[in-house]
Amino acid sequence: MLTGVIEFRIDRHSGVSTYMQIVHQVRQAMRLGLLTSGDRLPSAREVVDATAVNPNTVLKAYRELEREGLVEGRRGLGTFVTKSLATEATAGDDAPLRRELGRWMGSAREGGLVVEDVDALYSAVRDEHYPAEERS
Amino acid sequence: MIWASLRLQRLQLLTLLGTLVVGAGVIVLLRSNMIDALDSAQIAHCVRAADQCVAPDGAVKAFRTTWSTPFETAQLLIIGLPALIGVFIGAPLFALELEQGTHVLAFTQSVSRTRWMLSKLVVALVPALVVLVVLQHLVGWWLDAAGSLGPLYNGPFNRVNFAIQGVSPLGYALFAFALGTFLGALTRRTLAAMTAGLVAFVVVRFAVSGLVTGSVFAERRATAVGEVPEQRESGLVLTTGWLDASGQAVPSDRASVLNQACKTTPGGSPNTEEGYLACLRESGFAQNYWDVIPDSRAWQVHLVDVAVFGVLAVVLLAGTTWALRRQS
Amino acid sequence: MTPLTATAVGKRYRTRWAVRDCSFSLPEGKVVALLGANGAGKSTLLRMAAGLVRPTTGELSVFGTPLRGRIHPDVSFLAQNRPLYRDLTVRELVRVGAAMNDRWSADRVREVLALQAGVDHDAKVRTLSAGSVTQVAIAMALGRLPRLLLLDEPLADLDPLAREETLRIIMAEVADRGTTVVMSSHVLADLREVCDHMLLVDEGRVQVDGDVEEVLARHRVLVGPVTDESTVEGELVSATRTQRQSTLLLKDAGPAPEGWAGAEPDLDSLVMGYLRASRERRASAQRG
Repeated sequence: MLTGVIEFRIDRHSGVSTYMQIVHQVRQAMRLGLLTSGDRLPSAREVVDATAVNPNTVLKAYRELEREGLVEGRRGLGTFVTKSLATEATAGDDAPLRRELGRWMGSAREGGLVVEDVDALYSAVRDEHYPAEERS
Repeated sequence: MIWASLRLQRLQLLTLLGTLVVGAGVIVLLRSNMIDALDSAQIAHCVRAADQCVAPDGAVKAFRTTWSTPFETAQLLIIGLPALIGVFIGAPLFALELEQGTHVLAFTQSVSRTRWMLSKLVVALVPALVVLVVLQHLVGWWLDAAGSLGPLYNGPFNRVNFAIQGVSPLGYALFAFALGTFLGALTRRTLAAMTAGLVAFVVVRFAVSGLVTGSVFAERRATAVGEVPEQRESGLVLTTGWLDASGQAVPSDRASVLNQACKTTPGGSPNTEEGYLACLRESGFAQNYWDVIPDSRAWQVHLVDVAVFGVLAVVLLAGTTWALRRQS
Repeated sequence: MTPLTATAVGKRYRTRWAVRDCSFSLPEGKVVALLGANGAGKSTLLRMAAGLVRPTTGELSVFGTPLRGRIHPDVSFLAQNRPLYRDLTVRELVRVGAAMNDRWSADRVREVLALQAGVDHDAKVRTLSAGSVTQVAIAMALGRLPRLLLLDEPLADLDPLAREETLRIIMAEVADRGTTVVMSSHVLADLREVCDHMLLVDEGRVQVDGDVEEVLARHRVLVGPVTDESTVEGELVSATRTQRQSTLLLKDAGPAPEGWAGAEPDLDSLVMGYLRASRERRASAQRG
């Protein structure tokens, strides 16, 4: 029996449309290696059972992902991930960059920083290295 | 659909069943007690003709005193049942649905409005009529056993006797029920329909009576002036008066003037019997007449009664259909 | 074949028009939000579509069949006041549903009732919570195996949990059977996240009709100096102005001119803009 590997979390008050939330979460899961080639996305009905969203929206999000070439719908079987976005650097708990960031977080905490401080620092540094116009 | 209607009418149906069982039990019991009482008072034979029977002193009077209340109660039950059927079964039938909005549920299922209405009508009405007719006949059976010692002594045209005999109660019940459903469908308020239904029923019931329309069955009897009929048959006398030589009825105002005039002699003293009769003949009065509906034709008058109320009921049910069709 | 088509439909109650000159056609398989203020004509429109109310003018068709004063076999309707026989148990009510329908799936009703935690089938309807009553009413509606489901304020008076459960039942129906759903609400937040088509009515008239994404994409909110509105291109829907700043809702707008900032509106500001505009039209009409 095939079951979906991931579950979507829909935040109704985020201001981001359900459709975009689903697209983002699939992409994110693929980057983190939670979804890899061959995995089945939850069916519209499974998403409805879990989150009570409009199944048409789920299907629309899947069509968008299909258009991007990330997933593929197979008639009667479901929607499957066709490629992997995870790299050595992002996937798994022991990826080197992740461990480095972990160490950094550790020292931030020891240094008495609260979560808002960490977020502010993180976004500031991120924006330095990834200027807004380069991001999609 | 019938099951649905049965379930929705359950309370009323159970009440009807209860009324039937208790009513029948009480009537059977009372009847048997009454027969025992007749025997022990040695007046059982008086049932045929109370006026002419030989009985122990005061026994008939005592019997009538004791039993008049049970008799009246039973009569009242049969007179009151149609009104109760109209108020408690007819009026809420559609009013309750319209009041609570459940008609919307019914109107948005596959069943058509007409079928829905018919099934509700049949399920509500038929058991009520059955109970009424059974109780009516049980009461009749009991009153028959009392014969002329009971209310039947007053004859079939006595207003109370007429109301509980023949097919008349059926007509009243049909009318009361139809009136209730119509007012319920029109007002969409259960309480309003019940109250207005009761008032309207009582008014119409007393205003329209088969006894009036039944006068088509009246037969004219006449005897020559001064002659006494051998035996007046039992029946409802509607009018009396005089006929002239050609057999035409003398207008009553003229008749009473002439009649008054004949009671005195020209001299002013009271007239003798012969003088009075002679005076009448001279004044042009040939015969005494009276229009009577014989007791034997009572069943026909009941038929007229049920026809009148039946037609009213049909009109009201048509009105109910109309009100429900335009209901949204 | 479109599930519901209205052609110049109007309904007059004595002297007041509850709905007038409504024309629209709903796409199949969509979740349609019927939006509008209280008294805008949403209920009248739904009751006409359910065959309960006959239009004074125009005609409604369901799956190509014109309505003639009774419900189409493929339509189920949930009325705003959830009319159910309150003295019956849930089980008896479902049996009544079966008795009153030619096509009825007791399994479907059972399935829907099983989606929620603990409706006792032997409980009288009057003892149920508002949420359970709504869910039982929806289960009854789904027992007819509809292809078009009309729901009048399905989420009104429900606590957040019941709201979520109710939405889940409706959305599962869409997922399982591809049913077209029309849901009315005067609270936009209820439907914002679940609808893909919108029908906005006000004063009994259709103000907006279309796919939500497309409708939003056709509109722009422009913010700029109040002194210089002449450079803005597009059809002005509504505007709010302070001493210095104008906020304009535009349909088919051109690019934002110099000194103006433009963005796609969200559903709330779009709906508010249209409702405000129709209110202003009404106010100016009353002033004569």
